[in-house]
Amino acid sequence: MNKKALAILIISSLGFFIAILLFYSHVGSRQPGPDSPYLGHNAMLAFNAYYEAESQLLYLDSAAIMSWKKSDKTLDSFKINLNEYLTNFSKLHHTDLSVNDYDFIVKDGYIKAITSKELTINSKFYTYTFKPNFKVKAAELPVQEETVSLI
Amino acid sequence: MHKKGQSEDIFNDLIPAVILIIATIVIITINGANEQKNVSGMSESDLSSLRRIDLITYMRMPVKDYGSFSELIIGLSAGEDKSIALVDSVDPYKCGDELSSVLRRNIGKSYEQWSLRVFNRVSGEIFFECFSDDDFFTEAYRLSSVDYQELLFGSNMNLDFEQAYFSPLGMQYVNVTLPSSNPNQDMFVKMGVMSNE
Repeated sequence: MNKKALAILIISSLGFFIAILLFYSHVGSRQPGPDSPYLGHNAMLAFNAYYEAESQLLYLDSAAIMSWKKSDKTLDSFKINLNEYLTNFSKLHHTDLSVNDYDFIVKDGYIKAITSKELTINSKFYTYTFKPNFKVKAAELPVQEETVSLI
Repeated sequence: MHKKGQSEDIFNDLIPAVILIIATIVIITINGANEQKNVSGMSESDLSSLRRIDLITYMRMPVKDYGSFSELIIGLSAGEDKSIALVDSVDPYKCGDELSSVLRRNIGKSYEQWSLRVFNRVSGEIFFECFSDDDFFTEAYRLSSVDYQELLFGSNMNLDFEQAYFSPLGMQYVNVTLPSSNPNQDMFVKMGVMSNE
């Protein structure tokens, strides 16, 4: 057989063999996050933290709706009701969120509650932080363009 | 004779290359099979995470005259007329036709068999319950030889029973907490779906 052709064939075969060994030996370490038992497992861990944050935000949104329904349609009454729910929320989620952490803006028929405080979800490999802001429809409330804060 | 000898030399020369090519193919095949097996080996806790995200999505889905399904639920706890109108007129613990239709249309896209219960987290009192298929669940209760009404009004017993009875059949449960009209008494929304879906 032609010696040059044989040399090229063996070098190519060796090259493919080494390339595939290198690929499979490094593919795990190139994935983001910790080692995972299967493809997509790390995404599921992140999903868990996301779910926890979403369920907390759902609670706060619902608490705001209920606080408004129970109020006498004034901002002060809304805040008093909301604080009771936030106390319960803090107990449930081991945090210290209170109505004093929020700035309230009344605009376009909504009360918007904005805070600089961050809540944190700690999982084994990830730390997920989010701001528990929310808004509630309050069409009956007179529009106030300025920020109202209890702080 | 010369041609035959030449042919044997070619095969001998090719042996190292053939071995390397076969080894490469074997490595690719083994690793490919492992990856395929691992992807389908998603654990039950991971599937549960996906179901919980589904439940949050259902809580946010719009319902007629309400901002969302969760708003309807908290309205029920406050005894709002609008919310009560969506509950069955005969059995106040069951979904009305309108609400059933909304839930079946949305949850039914992902799960064939499901149950949804809303109850007081502290007392276990049920606000309402909806099923993908009333007959399936009523029959299951009947077969269990447990009086349905007794279960229904037996507060926590009902919830324990459902999980104990349906879990071996493949039903998996996820839940989410919502506030009620009483800030100290949260509501639990518990969704059961068949795990093979």
